[in-house]
Amino acid sequence: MKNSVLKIDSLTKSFGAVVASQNISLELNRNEIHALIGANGAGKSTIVKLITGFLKQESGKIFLEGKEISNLSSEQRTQKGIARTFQVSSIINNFSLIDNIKLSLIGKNKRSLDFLSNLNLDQQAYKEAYGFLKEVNLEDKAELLVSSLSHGEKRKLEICIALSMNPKLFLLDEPMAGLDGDSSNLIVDLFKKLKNRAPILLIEHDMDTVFSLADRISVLDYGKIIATGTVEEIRNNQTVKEVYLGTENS
Amino acid sequence: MFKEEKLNLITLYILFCVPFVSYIFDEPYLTTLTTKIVILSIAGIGLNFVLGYGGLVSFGHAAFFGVGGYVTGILAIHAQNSEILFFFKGSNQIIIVWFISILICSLLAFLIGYFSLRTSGVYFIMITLAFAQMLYYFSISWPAYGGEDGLSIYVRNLFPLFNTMNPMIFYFICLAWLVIFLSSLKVILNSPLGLVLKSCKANEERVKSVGINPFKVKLIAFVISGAITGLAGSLYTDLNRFVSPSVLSWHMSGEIMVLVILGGVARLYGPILGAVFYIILEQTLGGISENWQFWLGFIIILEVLFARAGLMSFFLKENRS
Repeated sequence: MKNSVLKIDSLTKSFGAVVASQNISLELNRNEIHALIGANGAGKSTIVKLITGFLKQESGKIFLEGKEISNLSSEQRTQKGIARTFQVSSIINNFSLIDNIKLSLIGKNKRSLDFLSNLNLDQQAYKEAYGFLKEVNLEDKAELLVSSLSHGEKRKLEICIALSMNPKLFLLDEPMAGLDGDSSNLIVDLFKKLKNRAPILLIEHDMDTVFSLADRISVLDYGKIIATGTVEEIRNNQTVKEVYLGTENS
Repeated sequence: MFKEEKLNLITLYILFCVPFVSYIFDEPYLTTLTTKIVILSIAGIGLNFVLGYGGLVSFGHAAFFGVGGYVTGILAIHAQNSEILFFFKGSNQIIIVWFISILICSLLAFLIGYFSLRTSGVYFIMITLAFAQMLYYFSISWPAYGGEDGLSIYVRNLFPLFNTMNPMIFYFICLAWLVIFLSSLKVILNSPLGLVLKSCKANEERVKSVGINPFKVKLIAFVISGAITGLAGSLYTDLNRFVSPSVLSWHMSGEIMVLVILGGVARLYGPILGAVFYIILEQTLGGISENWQFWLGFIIILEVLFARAGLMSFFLKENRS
């Protein structure tokens, strides 16, 4: 329990007759990448939304570092230390990169109601934001509009925003979607560094990435976790092979 | 073609010079007309703050404009007739009137915003419209303050050491308010609250995901906007020495919105150009035909199709449309 950063206990959520998450329980430990895999519609993104508070569970509890957060709003959960990236990039395209990072720093430092300080003259905020961009090698584009970035750069920026929140855990919802090989490799390297700062719950379709990165994997099928284990355990799990991986990965 | 800062300064400089030109050519009506432009500009920048920067399409800003106007009228009429209003005799001191107008309009904006900001899109438009219409019908059915006929005050409220009945002095009072609000909004828009407000317009989910409650920020912006528009209403009543239910009607909300759209949404000085253009149209085309709004509609269609960044974009180097 001491090692656990996130604990989900018997989480259930339905949309009408469709049970999107059924008695989901999982743990995310320190310095760990825990991957959540499953076919389209298996309920992966629903779990992310339940953890971040964008959806409300019908039953079950969520604990962050041992403290229950199930009834907090999404903003409060972020303040407690949950940072996420979105399946479909949600960066503000008509802002510069630096302004996108400044926005997350405003959230982290609880300055959203400050209407007197001039952000353009705030050197400390600029330096801090610039520092985070440097970590993902985007510092040269700090003043450019996000709309001018490539898809891979947008993904990096999204991770950079999560990083700037100084979170207790990262929830990364399909961060590799739409990336070419080189960009994927860069992001994989980034994740390896990130997990030492905070554990990662990774939702991903790309099995090569999952197998190369994950310390543990949980497999979802129709809203239920059918297996949890190390990469080898999942590779060799007969049920997972039948339901998800098929024979080519076995 | 100008840079935006330069265009803004030129606009203010022209506004500053108008009463002197009017004096030289002995055309006092020009000062009164420009006072109307300045007051409508204040209402426009109030709405533009939430509409342009926060993406909140309020179709009920006449509520604040009208209530600001009625507060001024009611306080003045009680002071003039020495009739008790609740616990005091009303006031014809313009500073007290402004203070009370801003206070009441802020409270009203808090109330309307508290309920309406829980909705978005077309529902937000409808709920703000509904609040304003409720107040409009209330004012019509309130005979104590003129009902449908409105309320006349005989002299403008008093400003220490200055004669507000002098058109030039009253003009500069209104212009001072315009400059104060423009400067204050510029400070706010460059602050963390300003960045969050603009982010709410662009992507509210992103705002939530960085731990910020967008509702609080939007509510504060709505209250600021309501207070500014309310003060514009107060000045409008003093300008005309008259207030009627028409300032609370949806036509007024539409008129303020048209100024914002004409000038340029999310341009701080846009509503000023919008107001100038609107009043010029009203004065020129209005003399030719009663239905001059037909041509206004035609111009808005052209602008929406070909120059979405508004009139400001015609004068600026960087055309955002």
